[in-house]
Amino acid sequence: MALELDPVTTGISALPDQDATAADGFARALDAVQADGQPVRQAQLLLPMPAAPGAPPAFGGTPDDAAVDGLARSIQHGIDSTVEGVGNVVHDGVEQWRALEYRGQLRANTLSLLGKADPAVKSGLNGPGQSPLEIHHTVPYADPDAQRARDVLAKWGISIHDPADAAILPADYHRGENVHGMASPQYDTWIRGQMDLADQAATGAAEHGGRSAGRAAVLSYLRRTSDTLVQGSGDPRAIALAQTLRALERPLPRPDLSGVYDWRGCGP
Amino acid sequence: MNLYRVDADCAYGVLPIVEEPGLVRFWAETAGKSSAANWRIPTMLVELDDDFVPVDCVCSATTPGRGLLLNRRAREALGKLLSPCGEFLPVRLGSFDYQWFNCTVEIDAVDQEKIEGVPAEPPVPPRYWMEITRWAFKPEALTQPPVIFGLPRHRPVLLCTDVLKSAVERADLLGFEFELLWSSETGGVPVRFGPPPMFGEAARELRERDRRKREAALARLAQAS
Repeated sequence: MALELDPVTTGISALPDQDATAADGFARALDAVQADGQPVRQAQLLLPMPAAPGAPPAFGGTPDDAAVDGLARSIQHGIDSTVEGVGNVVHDGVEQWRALEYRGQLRANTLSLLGKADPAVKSGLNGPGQSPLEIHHTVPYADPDAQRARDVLAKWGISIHDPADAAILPADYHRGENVHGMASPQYDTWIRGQMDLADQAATGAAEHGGRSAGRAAVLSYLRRTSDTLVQGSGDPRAIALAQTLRALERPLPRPDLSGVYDWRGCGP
Repeated sequence: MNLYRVDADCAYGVLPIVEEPGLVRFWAETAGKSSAANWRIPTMLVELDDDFVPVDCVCSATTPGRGLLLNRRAREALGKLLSPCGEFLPVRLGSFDYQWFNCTVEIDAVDQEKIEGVPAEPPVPPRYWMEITRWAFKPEALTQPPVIFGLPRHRPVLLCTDVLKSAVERADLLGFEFELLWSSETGGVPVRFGPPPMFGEAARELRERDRRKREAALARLAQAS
């Protein structure tokens, strides 16, 4: 693990070696620096160049949970994290890492909340001997087919990384040939319909209670949609965590991101 | 009389529209309201993928509820029936010319006392529903129903009667999906709420069913051309 510290900018660059994936390295480097008490404000994960154009980035394959954890942890610590390739990282690699950052944001927000109820949860969702759980964006953060649904969130100033958009799912349900692998147009159609309903209900609520009532309405529809996904997984631990999450997040004041949020809904 | 929820069948793929964000907003704001006077023909770029089949009624990722995207064949077959219930607005989607049928008729026919499901929580006012598992309608509001109409507070839902369903079947149009919600004789039928199957055998079956539909549609289109 090659770790470079810059005392002037208090930045950190982590470059993976052959023994560790970039993701592991990033997470461990952050831990090491945090343990030293250094005020890290920027973190950058440097990726090596791919072997050949079109080849997958040579950093250990698909971004894994360790990478998400690393990013989530850095976000929790208030570190402005970036993941950048060195040289000509193939387009897919860049997109993959951008997606990873989005996953990290939602995970950080959700773990922060859950950690208030159970500090053991804060470090991750995967305890020893337990099947891994992951956090899924109910309204997808990048899928073009979900643009209408993102527009509704953006219209009411709700972040795509709000814990209301989090569906805690077993990893084997979330990945591979499941929620993402089996992603069907029917899923996007369902989400779009739910968010259309939410938008209409929010408009009704806003007529009586103002814009904040409208936002609260969309959040309640979004939570219900997320929780329907969790229920569908049939995983008791995921269901219990989702219930804890909902109990914790209700009183939270949320900043209104209207006007700040990009219309395309992919981030402020 | 039967009432069906009518929509585009997204088994034939979703038309991925690459558009200006403002166009999405414009599109959404005109839904359900008479918009022909202000309509500017949107030319939308599309990125076709292998899963999309240009059937008679297509599913789009960005169109709001209460409308159907129809090709010329569907327009010709259904125009007379649909015209009294809305307006046809031309849309150019890549190399395809479609008409967006924007349904402007709305009937407050839902029987709020008998409907089954999960009502929305405050601060949402009454009569909004998060989840409906069995619809109920007031027969007196449906003595002479239009062939297609929307419902207040249920924008994604577009309802039709047997008249439209039969016309679609007679004309052998592809891409429509009808889900029976209610019958004047037997009342509401149970409705499944939730996402499509996304795990295991049920998800595989759904994918396989969609694939078969697309193949059959492609074969028919090839034969027609």
